[in-house]
Amino acid sequence: MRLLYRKYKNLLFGMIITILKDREEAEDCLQEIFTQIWEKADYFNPEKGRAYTFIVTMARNKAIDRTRSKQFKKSEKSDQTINDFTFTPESEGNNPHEDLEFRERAAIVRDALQKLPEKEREVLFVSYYRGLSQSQIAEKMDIPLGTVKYRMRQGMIKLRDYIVLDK
Amino acid sequence: MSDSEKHTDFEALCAGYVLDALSNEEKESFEKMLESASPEQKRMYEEMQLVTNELALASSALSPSPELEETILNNLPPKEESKPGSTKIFGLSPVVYKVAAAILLIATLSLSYVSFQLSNTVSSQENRLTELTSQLEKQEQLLDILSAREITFVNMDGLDPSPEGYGKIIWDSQRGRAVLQLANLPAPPPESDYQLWLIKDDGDPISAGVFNFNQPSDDLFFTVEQLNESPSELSNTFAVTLEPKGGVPQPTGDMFLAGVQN
Repeated sequence: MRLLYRKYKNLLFGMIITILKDREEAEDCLQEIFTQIWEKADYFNPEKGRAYTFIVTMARNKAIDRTRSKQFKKSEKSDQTINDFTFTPESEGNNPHEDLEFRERAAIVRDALQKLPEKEREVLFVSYYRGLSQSQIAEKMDIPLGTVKYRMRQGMIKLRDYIVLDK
Repeated sequence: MSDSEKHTDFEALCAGYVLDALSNEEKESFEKMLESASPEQKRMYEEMQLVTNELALASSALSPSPELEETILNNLPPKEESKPGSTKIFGLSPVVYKVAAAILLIATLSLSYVSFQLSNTVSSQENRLTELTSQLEKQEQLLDILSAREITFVNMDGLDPSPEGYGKIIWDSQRGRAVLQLANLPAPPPESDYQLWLIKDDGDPISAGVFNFNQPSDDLFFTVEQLNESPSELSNTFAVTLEPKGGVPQPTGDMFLAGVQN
């Protein structure tokens, strides 16, 4: 468990702080995530998927569930601004918090995201990091539902080309 | 293409589905499409799922407080403790004594059972964690190969015994290692293994190892440690055949996958 924690803590913490936007809340959530990993280890089947997928999916779901709580919605954290994938100097390749194993993959993902038009990237960000449906995104961004669907489709197809097919 | 066609075809629904952004009706519609999807569409679905999972890497990694590690590890759910019951039976009638004795007996048996179950649960969780750790070590090996300066990709297509199968080779020829992905192949029978071959130009096949698994999947990765061959400048063909357990010096069984380096 310690090995798992050390391998994933920074990746998960970075992801959930992007979702929750509050360090204390994110640490609380991280504790809940690792407790659930310990409890749900029985359900993990290595033949059905990677440990990475199992852990990251669980972490994202936990963090997004928190944003849907009444208490969270009441707070400032559920602001109405549209965020995008941000690319800080730390995310440009020498982040000391980044696990070596994930560094190269992260660079590929960030590079691929930067190649996308901003509008497509925004839709993917809101969907992944806010857990919003297409109709909720349309409402939040004040654009037609068809436009959200189009941008999501185009963005994912391009990311697939950059991340999977270009490998 | 009309506006509605644009947003209800496989690609559009697939993108929304993997991001969990569709309405319930659209989800159901996509799941039906997936049941009868072509191999290419299934591959697109799997690759979009992979892309979605990779989005987690886009946020900047950050360290939580150092003390959180001990807090988390020390506060993992404790094993359920037995709850000792206190039974006051003094001054009660013999019938009550008998009832109390029966209750105690049942409670004792129940606690023994719970204790047995808990012990099984702990053992099972430990096994799962061992599997997780082993999976991580395997991924590290795979990534080590992927990080090589020069790697060669070879796609293998499914042949007659399993036309929906496919495979990939990621070959680090400088270090004589490779990653093999096998997808949509049936599990080999108990007396057989899959065997990977490298055929340089028109030469004899060279064995690159045997592989086995219990359940078919599209996400089976193996490290190939026996590929100490320098690639031919003309042609390098990879093939997977079904062979007797442990492998054979030259292929004898059906060929399931084959692909030539472009």
